Amino acid sequence: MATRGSLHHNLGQSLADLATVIRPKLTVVDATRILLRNGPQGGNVDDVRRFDTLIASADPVAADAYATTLFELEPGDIEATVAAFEMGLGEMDLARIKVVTA
Amino acid sequence: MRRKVSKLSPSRWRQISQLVFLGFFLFLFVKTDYSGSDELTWAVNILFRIDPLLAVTAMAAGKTIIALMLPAAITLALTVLFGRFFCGWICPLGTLIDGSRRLVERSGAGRERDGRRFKYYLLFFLLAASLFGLPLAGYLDPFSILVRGLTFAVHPALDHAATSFFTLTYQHGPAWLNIVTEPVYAVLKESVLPFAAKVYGLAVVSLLVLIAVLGLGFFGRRFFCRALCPLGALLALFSRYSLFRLTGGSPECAGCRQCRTVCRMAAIDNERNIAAAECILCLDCLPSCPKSLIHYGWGRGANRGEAVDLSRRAAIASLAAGMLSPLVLPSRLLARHADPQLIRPPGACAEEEFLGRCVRCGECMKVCIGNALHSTWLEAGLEGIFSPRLISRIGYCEFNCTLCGQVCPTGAIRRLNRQEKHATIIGRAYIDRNRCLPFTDGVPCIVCEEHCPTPDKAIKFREAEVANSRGETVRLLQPYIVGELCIGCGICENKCPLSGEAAVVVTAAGQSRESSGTTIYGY
Repeated sequence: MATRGSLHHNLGQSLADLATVIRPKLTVVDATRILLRNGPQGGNVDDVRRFDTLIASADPVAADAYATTLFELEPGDIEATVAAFEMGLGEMDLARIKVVTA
Repeated sequence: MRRKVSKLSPSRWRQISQLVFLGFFLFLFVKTDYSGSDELTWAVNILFRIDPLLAVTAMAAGKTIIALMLPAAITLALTVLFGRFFCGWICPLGTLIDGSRRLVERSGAGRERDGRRFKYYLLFFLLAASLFGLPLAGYLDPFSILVRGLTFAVHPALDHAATSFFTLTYQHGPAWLNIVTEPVYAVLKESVLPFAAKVYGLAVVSLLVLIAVLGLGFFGRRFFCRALCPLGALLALFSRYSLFRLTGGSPECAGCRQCRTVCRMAAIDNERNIAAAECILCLDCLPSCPKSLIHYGWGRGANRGEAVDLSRRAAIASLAAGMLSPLVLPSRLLARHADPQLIRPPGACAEEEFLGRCVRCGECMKVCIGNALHSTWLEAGLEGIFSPRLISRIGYCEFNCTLCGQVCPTGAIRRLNRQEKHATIIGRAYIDRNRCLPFTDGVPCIVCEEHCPTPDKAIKFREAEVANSRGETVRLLQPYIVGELCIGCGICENKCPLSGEAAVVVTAAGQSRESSGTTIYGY
């Protein structure tokens, strides 16, 4: 059993590794409100932006990659996304992801 | 045949009252817990507020009227009217002492009469000591003893037993068994088990004190109530003049002294006079009298019974001891320099008033959702045992929680609203660069900053280029504390991923309850 501390070393790779143990069938990202700064505990209401958006995908990497754009970041900025992509767990290239808006 | 509707005996009515109040007490006790809401509706502090011993000693120590404790006056007024019914009919510890009697009583235990006076001396000592600056009443108050023992030891033990049992049935039991056991466990968790499994400082000590009080029954029935309980002694001073009372045998009664034999409080003397001060109205003597001479009623002018023969010398000595013993307090080390590890709950009064008001009931520790508050041992001196302190490595003070101030019966911890709570500084953190990973090992770690709950984070970063343990140069973030923003909640110390001591530590420096804490650096 890995401890909380050991899982947090090299966090991006550890998160990607988790997806090989528990393989998600459907990944849902709740982006009703997103916290832009000072997370994850506390922070300020001013740091919250309201998107009222739900992202769902059968590809966990694609879901994360798209969610990254809400923060005005690139998928390549997120270690866990890059690590998972390199392990072949999903797609992170936004050009190759089809976004269907419902 | 209609007479079959049997009349309950007087002592049966008393037992029913005892059970009802014990049930009410246990209901309040279980309700004194977080249940998902920021506000508590019921808490056992209601019972502490009708406790005149704690009311008088807390007010004497604080030299002030504590409005929260005024309901205790009702208890005194009712005692002047009806006698010491509180001990016999209401007190949940008294009920447990009665209930455990058959387990502990030595056969042929006497009705020790001389011991009765000791509780008065104890009361005089506690009253004088509280007034002169040494508040100790919470150590001996029956409610405090009971609630501490139950909170710190008995309730967690029950929880552990239930969890172990139902984990066993869940993991190893057949499916048909789980159809029964799982709903039972769910109901228990919902109703009587604590919200979360917690740890408590001085759990074993508190349990031993409670067991010792019950175990004193070895020396005779209601030994604690008869010889030690200072609340009983205070009520006795009032019930001595009660308007309603039991009147017993006259010189004309047969002199069988059955009443004297059954009396658990040794309240009846050889001439069958019933001492209103000692009598707790258990009413066992009523059916014992072959001539049915004993009755309860208007007692003006009736024989008051033999009062406990207090030695004037001992009474004065107890008062003097209470007045004089506080004189040694200013010569202790902590009078000059308080223990910086001693962090009090948010809203706590300044130390001296805090200890004067704190009745050591343990309710704040019971409701603390971070499991951060624990019994102090000797860190605050002899008079500080069982008072609450924050131990960040065990738990942290939740930023939005105000429960401890809601349950404190005396206002030792003030009731804060959320804005006040956010602004209350209970201590301040510092970073130990000899242990902190980004400083010592060049390993990136931002855990403390992530958890810091203040809107403008009290932990910020400086970017630095350091050599790690392999000699490589790495760029990383090194945390530092912004003193003006830190409120000392302790979540950083609690969550620091290092094993053993944390690399970020909270001390009481800068706490807002002491006037010296108004500047960040204490000067």
